[in-house]
Amino acid sequence: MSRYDVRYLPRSTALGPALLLAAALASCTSVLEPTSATAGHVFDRYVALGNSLTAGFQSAGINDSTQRESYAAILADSLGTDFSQPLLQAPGCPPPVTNIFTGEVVGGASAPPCALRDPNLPAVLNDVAVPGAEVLDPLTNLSDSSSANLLTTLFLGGRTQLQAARDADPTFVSVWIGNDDVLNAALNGDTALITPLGDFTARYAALGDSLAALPHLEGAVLVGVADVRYVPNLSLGVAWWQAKQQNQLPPTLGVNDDCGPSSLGGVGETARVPFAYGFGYLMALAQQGQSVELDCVNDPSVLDPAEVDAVGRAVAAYNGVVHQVAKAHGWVYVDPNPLLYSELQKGDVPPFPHTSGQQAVDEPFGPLFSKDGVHPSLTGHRLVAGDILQAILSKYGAGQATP
Amino acid sequence: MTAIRLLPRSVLRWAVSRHRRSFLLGALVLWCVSPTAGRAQGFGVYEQGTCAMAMAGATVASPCDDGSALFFNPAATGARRGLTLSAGAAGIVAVGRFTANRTGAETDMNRKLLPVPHAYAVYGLGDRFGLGVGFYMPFGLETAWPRSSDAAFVSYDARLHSFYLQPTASARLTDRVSIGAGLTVVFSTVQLNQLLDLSTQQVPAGLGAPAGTLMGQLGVPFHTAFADAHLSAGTATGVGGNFGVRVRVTDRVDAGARYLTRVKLTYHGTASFAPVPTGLVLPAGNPYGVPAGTPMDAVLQAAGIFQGPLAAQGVQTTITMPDQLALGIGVRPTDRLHLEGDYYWTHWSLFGRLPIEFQGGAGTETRVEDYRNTSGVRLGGQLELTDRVRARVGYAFNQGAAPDQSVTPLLPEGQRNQFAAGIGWTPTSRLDLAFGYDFLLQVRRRGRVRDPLPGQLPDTGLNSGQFSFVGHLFSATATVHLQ
Repeated sequence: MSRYDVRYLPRSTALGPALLLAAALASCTSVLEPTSATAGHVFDRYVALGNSLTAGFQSAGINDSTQRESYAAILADSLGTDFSQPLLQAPGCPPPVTNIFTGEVVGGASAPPCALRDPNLPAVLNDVAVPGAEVLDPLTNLSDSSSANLLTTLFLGGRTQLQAARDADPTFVSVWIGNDDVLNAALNGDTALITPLGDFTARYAALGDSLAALPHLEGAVLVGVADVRYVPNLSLGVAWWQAKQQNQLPPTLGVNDDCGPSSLGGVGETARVPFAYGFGYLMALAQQGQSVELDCVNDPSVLDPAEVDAVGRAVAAYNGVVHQVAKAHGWVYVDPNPLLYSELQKGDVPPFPHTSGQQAVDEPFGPLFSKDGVHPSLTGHRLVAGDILQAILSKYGAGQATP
Repeated sequence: MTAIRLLPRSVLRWAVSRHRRSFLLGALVLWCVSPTAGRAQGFGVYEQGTCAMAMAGATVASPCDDGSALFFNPAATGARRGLTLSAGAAGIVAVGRFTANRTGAETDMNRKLLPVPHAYAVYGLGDRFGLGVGFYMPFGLETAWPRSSDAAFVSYDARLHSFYLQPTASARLTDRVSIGAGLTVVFSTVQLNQLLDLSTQQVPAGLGAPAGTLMGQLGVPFHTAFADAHLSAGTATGVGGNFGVRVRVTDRVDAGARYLTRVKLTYHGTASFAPVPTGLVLPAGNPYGVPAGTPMDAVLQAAGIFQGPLAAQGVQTTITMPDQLALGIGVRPTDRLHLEGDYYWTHWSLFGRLPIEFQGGAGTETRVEDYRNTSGVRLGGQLELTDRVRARVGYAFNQGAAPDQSVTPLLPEGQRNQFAAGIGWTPTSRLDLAFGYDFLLQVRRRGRVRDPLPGQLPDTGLNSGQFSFVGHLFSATATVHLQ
């Protein structure tokens, strides 16, 4: 090699590394990183289990709009984490009612009873809740006691909630289930439908153990059973009695004095009348001219004081179980009932549905409940989400949440 | 609640026809894209000779003296008097990964060594004419992903082998200008294995569901495998040309150009299908009307889909490989140093819409790829350390041809940087040995592991993660010069 060659070589090699370095740096530029929740990495992959409340059922129906108003969706948004739901196309499956008294639904009379899922499926589901699910259902869809229904298949496709949750590999889960273990009893006035405490305890414990076994789970919140005695779908017997006294009911609809206040020897301040029975059955018959009478003690469809007490005791016992499971696993427990009782105190939950004017159409059960008087409205979901958010951030929060 | 009846056989037969088409469409992406990807992007780049590979393929103006001029610039064929025989092979190790955006889960490609042979025989007639024939594989591709991964729904084992046979003649028109032309005869085979996703299959109206309803709308979860599809295609052949011109501008500067014509290839394939258990067990109230506890597989089996509808089906497509233009300038600042810079342009936009004809009466489907024309730059150098030893380095950059919505496990393609080095050794006056290494570093790129739904166009909204890819290429060539 000549001297010229030796001098030339360093110039060339000086340019080379610079060029290569620039190219290498360009190659290493990341265009996408795995998502992370703004409220902390524990929430990176959030999965919600539950029933109609978590699924986003409102006004006796469910569609993509109501699903997005679920407290779980609101919570995920606040936590800054992705949340995919098994969205149902409009008008829904079934379509929500737009007027609880006339039965009109979203989409009108021509609306199909079930519009099925949105065809653009998410790769994983974060919301694996199924309307109607009881505490047994996340564990199995195939038991004789299972509450599986069409939405179980449409949402999960033959998986259980737990299996679908595993597929999402959650770092954080919320569970709000157990309401339907007692709600059906309340809505039907039949306490025999309450899931026995022993069964509830065993199933909830099994659910907790299964969740604890999820490989990357870092945290969880268990939400207690709502005190279903106080949902506005169950109106007070005394409200019916007062309506009768004020001639607000058809003449053919009688109300027994046992629905009156205790000061007059009645049990109406305790007895509860399901909407479907009071309005859907008795009122309908009365409006057809048939004489009927509401009885708050002897009518099997009405929750008499003993039955109301049984429902209340079941709720309390269930919540003892839920609290215990949360404690055993070191998870957060949220009791939703102080919030409910507080709103009751404020008078935002009417003891008797609004039956006239625009309010009867828009908010027959007040601002906190949807048009079925059981499931929260968007306002109600926001309140619940706020409660849960506060509780979980106090234990797990490490970043920015948006209340 | 809607009562949706059990799917009748005719419906599932129809649905399975869709499966077949979806699968074959996926396979044809491999057919259509990968060979050409190998030319300018892809996995099989620059392995047509170890000397050239070590200089990142920057040899259009001054091809290596190992016969690889047949490919890089036919005008230089037979530049050396007498017979030159050359043979070698490269081994490619591809290291790829898909990182799911949502979960951060990483899926690594299965690593394998892909051999890419090459061989040339050229003869210089006096100092004006040259003849030669070359055998090389510019388009060798094998990608393999775990069968349990989401990528498997696009492809879990894809193999493409392309063999090029190129007889070539060259002539030196003046002391400074040479031209050459070669006839490229292409033989290509392909094999693809893929899982089929039940959720994306359509069911028609009349079942209690609206027309066009997908199985996923009835609740079948995303990426539910129900069939393992295998496709193998016989040899497709095509003919094209490779033309070159080389100009000795000065004693120390060469210029060259090469034009590779487009090649029409017709592939004939057959697909076979094997059932895969879905693992789904239907609860009560299901839309199929079957009792609780019925496996989804039983519903599918009862429809007899693996007896009739999923029998072998032929398919055919004709693909035009893109033409490619390469321009290069080589300089020799000293007697021992050679430097070259090349520019490559590839007519990728030919791959916009790909019509696929099915031979079972399923009609014609069109696959949307929307590839873009690409440019690439290659820089290479060779320094004669001694009379018998030469050191080579190279760097290449290629644009990505695939648009953002077409990056999949089948070919997770994108912008690439390549860093190459090698050594040439002449142990005797008649023997040259070359060894080279090329490190391929692809810019990480978002991509998808799912195809668009029937009737929909690919969309970046389907991208759910990030592909990273590097390749290690090792090559060795032995060349014998006989007078």
